[in-house]
Amino acid sequence: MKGLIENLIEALTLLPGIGRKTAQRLAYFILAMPHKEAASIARAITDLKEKARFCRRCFNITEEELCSICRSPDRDQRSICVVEEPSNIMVIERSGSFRGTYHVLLGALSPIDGVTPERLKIRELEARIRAGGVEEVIIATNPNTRGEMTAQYIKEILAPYNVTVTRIAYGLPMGGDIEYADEVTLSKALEGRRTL
Amino acid sequence: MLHRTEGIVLHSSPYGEADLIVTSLTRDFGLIRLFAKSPRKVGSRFGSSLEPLTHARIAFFGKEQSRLPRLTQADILRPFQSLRERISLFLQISEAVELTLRVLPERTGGGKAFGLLLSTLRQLEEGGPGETYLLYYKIHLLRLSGFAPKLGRCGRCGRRAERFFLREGTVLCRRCEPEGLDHSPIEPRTERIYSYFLRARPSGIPRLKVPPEIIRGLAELINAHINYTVVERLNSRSFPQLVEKEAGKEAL
Repeated sequence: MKGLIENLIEALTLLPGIGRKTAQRLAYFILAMPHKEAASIARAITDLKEKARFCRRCFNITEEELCSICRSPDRDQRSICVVEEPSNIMVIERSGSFRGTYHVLLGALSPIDGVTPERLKIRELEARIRAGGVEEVIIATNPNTRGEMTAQYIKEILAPYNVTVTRIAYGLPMGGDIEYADEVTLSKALEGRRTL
Repeated sequence: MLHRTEGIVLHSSPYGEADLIVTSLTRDFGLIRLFAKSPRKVGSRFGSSLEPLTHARIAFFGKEQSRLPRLTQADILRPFQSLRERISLFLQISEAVELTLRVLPERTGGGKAFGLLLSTLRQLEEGGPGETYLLYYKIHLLRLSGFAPKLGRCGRCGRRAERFFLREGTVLCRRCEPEGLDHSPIEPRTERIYSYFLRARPSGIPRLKVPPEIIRGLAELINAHINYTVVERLNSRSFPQLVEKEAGKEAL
């Protein structure tokens, strides 16, 4: 029995943010679970690994050729939101404030780490713009140096096309105090101020 | 034990869910890798203080020989944000930063390397000639790490010499030069500029009046020397050409 528990603990510690103690707690929780529920977790994991693939158009995670967003007739195909990772889509979708489609780059440029434009899905984004029908590209890469560099690069690549390229706003997080903001965040927030 | 010093962020890698492993060149401890808890979360107390090139006053916690001390505080002294916003300049700085990461062993190169990088970044932000400053930086970094090429006098006997042998990392005179080894002739002007660079302070660079082709020739020599001696290929070196080619942008 110790071997089985130990195996599960070791497997769970492979997950981000899960240390040995948490893994141990989760392992005993799973042991106490009804068999059906534990099996459904195991099945969900194996299904994900076996069936998940990238959407042919936007590189979101999907089971089909195209993801549910690309297939949906309710989504505005004239606007593309560019993100670094598929997990970013879920966060933006949760906000409920975007009704267009997405394009996942699967990373961000990083010269020192050798992440060049060829390793990202930038060419595929360009091909989507070239195909026509897109009016706005919203670049929602992370507000850090890699994300900024990627945004600038995409802006340059898309310059020859008749498409508006915008960048998500910078600034202070809601619920925070100005007192604790650092210089760069605050200066970006001031630069991006708007008339009330 | 809690340590306090000043540092310049050279690189950071995501770790776990929202953590970072930050490599910083510090004034008192040299190159050091630090673990930062949750800086990628919105509203993190670290804010933008862990972005590359940021000069900050930092505090970290760990035993003297701890391999990964924990960063507890980072207060920005100079963000160097304008350098990060200029893509072609930032790419060239990235090359110098990558070289620093390759040539300086961890926990060495404290005060001098830190001062060199800080003064170079300051001059670049004040609008100095980027290519020349970065060449200056590379030469001094190679000198600090013991990799600097030898020009002017033969690396074996000390006589005047004008032919540079990449494989030897030095110029050699006719008597000492090995047969059949590739070499490049070094113009006296190139050698003079090189020795000026080794003596000068960064503040002296704007006063330097040198034809661009001499700077370019010296930069080619230094880059070839780096490729041969230090690292075959720096990851960041392919970027500027790429940007120029694809976006029609001019490098510095």
